[in-house]
Order: sequence, then structure tokens, then C-alpha cells
Amino acid sequence: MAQVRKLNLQGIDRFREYLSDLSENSELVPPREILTDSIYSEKVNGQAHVEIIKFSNRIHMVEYLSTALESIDSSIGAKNGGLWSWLSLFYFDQVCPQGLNGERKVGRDYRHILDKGYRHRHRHLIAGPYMTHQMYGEKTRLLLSGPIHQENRIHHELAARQEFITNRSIIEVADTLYFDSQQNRPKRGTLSKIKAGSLLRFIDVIRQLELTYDLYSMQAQKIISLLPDEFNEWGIFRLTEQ
Amino acid sequence: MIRKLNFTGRKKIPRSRVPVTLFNVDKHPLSFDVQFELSDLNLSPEALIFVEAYKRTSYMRFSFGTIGKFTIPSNRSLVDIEPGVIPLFRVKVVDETSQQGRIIALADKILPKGIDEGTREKISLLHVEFSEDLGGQIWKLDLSGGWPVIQVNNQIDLIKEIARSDMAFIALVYPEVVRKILNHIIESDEIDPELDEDDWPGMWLNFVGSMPGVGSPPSGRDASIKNDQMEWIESAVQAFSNKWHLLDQYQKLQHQGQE
Repeated sequence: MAQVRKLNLQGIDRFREYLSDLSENSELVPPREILTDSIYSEKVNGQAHVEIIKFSNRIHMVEYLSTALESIDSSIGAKNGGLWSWLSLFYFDQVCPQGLNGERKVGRDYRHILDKGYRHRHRHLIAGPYMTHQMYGEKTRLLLSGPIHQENRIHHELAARQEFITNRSIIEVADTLYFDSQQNRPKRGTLSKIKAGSLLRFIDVIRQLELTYDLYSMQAQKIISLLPDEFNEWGIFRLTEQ
Repeated sequence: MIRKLNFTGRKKIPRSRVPVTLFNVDKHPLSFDVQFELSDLNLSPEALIFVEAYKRTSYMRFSFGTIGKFTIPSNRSLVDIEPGVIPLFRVKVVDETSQQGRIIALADKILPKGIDEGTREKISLLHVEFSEDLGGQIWKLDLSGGWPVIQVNNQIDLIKEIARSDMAFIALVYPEVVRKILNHIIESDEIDPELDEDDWPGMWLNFVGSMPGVGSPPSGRDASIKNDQMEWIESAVQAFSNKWHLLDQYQKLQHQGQE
């Protein structure tokens, strides 16, 4: 079990340098020594411990971290970038696993080092899902489905839009429409560009409805009752008018 | 002239009727005050009033009672708004007598007062904001939000002041900012200033249109319209530069530097 720390500026620079080198030599070993080296990392306020466990999926990870980090500031503001970058390096084998040939596909830096700007912050592979889970708990299973090392496009589509990610009812409607509880995964065709009532169409329709209705004050079922018929095939249950 | 039609049936509340003032600017959390002048809009007394503050992915909502009976929430701290940003505000009047909450009147993209005193005209049209993610860039124009914003790199001391009032910065940067903003307005077909006088495209068109020799942007379906519009943009940038004597000001600064 390791005490949670945060990377300082030198640590983040070192981690970034590693990510850059990794794109040229994908078998490089992560610089794990900086996790405990006081030149590169420092203590956080409060006490928290994490251990290397094999997360079965993204929800498992955020549930574990929610408990592990509960006694420290785990916000994802720019001032906490060192914490999330430290966690990314700590769990690097899971956020950037080695393939069968030993190579790692690193992707963009913001997947591992918390971006200071708002545009990419939610795309950090640990902090983004963690924030969403902190906001909405179990209703985020649609947004958090899938393996840790891959970005969830559903999460990206919804979390990048202020009017969606800040509205609990819209997140709940999306979960109702597009999550298959029996299969425990998003329904097929959720991200289709041609299937009627898919997620991209849902985003368009919600934006239209927002012009007329105060969606923030509405329960999920009321929003569902406003959706056009093309969403019926997604297995929704509509409230009848009183 | 391209016009947009409102089929929603909701009334538009002019922003001047719901001015918002920010407090604790440059600290976190901000707090705000709002005034309402809605009496002649003929809104139902039972309709609910909500004020929403938003920026990027942060959002807060406050209930202010009803049209018939305002209730001012005692706590108006914007704790959930991301530190370091100036939020925009939205005032919604909602009829909840039916099952769904229907918006019957709305004012959106309200830029709060209480910021940037002393540079009224500039700031009402263009907002200056710190950015942490500009890398090696000094400034960047952001037109993705509800209002044009010059983002400036917070690694530079006093950069916010420089962006607002340093003549060298203004002379070198603002003409390009004007060009980009007008280009954006033209590209997004928001060229009717009467459409929404207090939304930012309308304000910008009125602002540049009032300068000598500029007028309204060309519109229509002629094949040459694109060229005409580009020429209009250039004439507006030229008029802007002339109005503030940017060349003279910059040369004066150069002479001062050499002495």
C-alpha cells in the first residue's frame, strides 16, 4: 500500500518527458521512482493510501478511488493536477497497458497529466471518470462503461457539454435510453450516426427542447415524455399525462 | 438579410432589465446580485424566476421566487463556478402550472457588471480572461463561449492589465481581434444587428457600423457577396485602427523607447 502524493512541477515535467519518449520507444519503463522521490513529488494535505489492484473496469476504479481519497482534496481543478498525474503514473500499467508485443499506446498527454484548461480536463483517464462519478454516482454507468485505458466516447460527448453534464436528469435519461442493464454495457448503436434516436440525435433534440422547456427543473421521466417517437425503439417507458 | 424566427412563444427579456453585478471579483468564490425590471412584460405572477450562472462545464442555479413575489436567496456565492473565470448569467421565467416547466421569458448570456471598471466600452464587447493552458502563446481569441474573450497567458506578470490598457498590445493585437470577430459573425450568418441588439454579434455590428465609412455589412445572395463582406471587414478594421490612432500611438511609444 502506498501513501498518496502529488507530482510537483519537476515531477510533471519528468512524467511528460517519459510520455514523449514513449512515443519513440514504446517499451520504456515508467519512471515510478519519482512517485516517492521528494525532488519530484510531495505530500498532499491529509492522509490517503492506494494499492495496486487490477481494476475490472472504470466503475470499479472510481468506486475504489472514491473511498481511498475521501480524506483528501480530490477535486479536479488545475491546482490538483499533481495529484491526478501522480495517480496516473501509479496506475500506469492500467491506464496505458502493454500490448501483447510489450508496446504501450500512450495517446495524448492530457490522458495522463491533468490538463490545466477545461477543454481536455475531463479526458484524463482517471480524473475525468472520477469527477463524473462524484457528481452522479451510479447513474454514470453509461458514461463510465468500458476499459480504463480507453476514452469512453459517450463520456466525452456528454461531459464536454455544460448543459448536459450539469443536469442530473439529462444524465439519467441518457442512462435510461442507452444503457443495457442486462448486458451491463451501452446498447448497440448508441453512437451510430444513422440510427434513429442515437446519442448524437439525443444531443440535438435536447438542445432543441432547452429552448422551450426548463430541463433543469424536470425529472428524467418528464424529459422522456417530451422526446419524439424516434426514441421509442430504445425501450423507454413514458409517463402518461395526468 | 438573414433573420431568425422564434417559434417557442417565449418572451425575450432585454438584458438591460436584469442587470447582474459581481462581487469579490478576483477572489473565489464570486458572489452576485441581480435586479429585475419585469413588471411590464405581462408575465404570470405565479411564474417562477431562476437565475443561472454558467461557464464551461460549471453551473449554478438560484431560485428567486415568483414574478408576483421575489425572494432573494441569502447565499449567492458561486462556489461551484470554476475559480478564475467570469461566468455569464441567464434569467429564466418558468411556468410550471403544466406538467413540464415551460420557459415563458428568457434573458441569456448576461455579462455581469463589476468587472473591469474604467474600460466600459471595450469590456462590454470583449472580455479579458486569464488562461492557464496557452503554452507558449501570449494571447488567444476564444469565440466558443457565450461572449468573445481574449485569453491571456497567466504566466506573464500584469498581462491582464497589459491586454486592457497597454497601447503597444492594443495596437498590435486588437485589429486582428476585430478582424477575427467580424469574420466569425459573417461566417455564422449573424449579420442582422436588429435581430438581437444586446447579444454580442449585434453589439459588435452596431459598434463597428457606427464608425465613419463602415456601415452595415453587405448581405444577399450575389456570387460576389463573399468578397464584398471581406472588404467590409477590412474597412471596419481600418476604421477601428484610425479611430484609436493605433499607428500614431505605436510610433510614439517607439520614439519614447529610443529616448
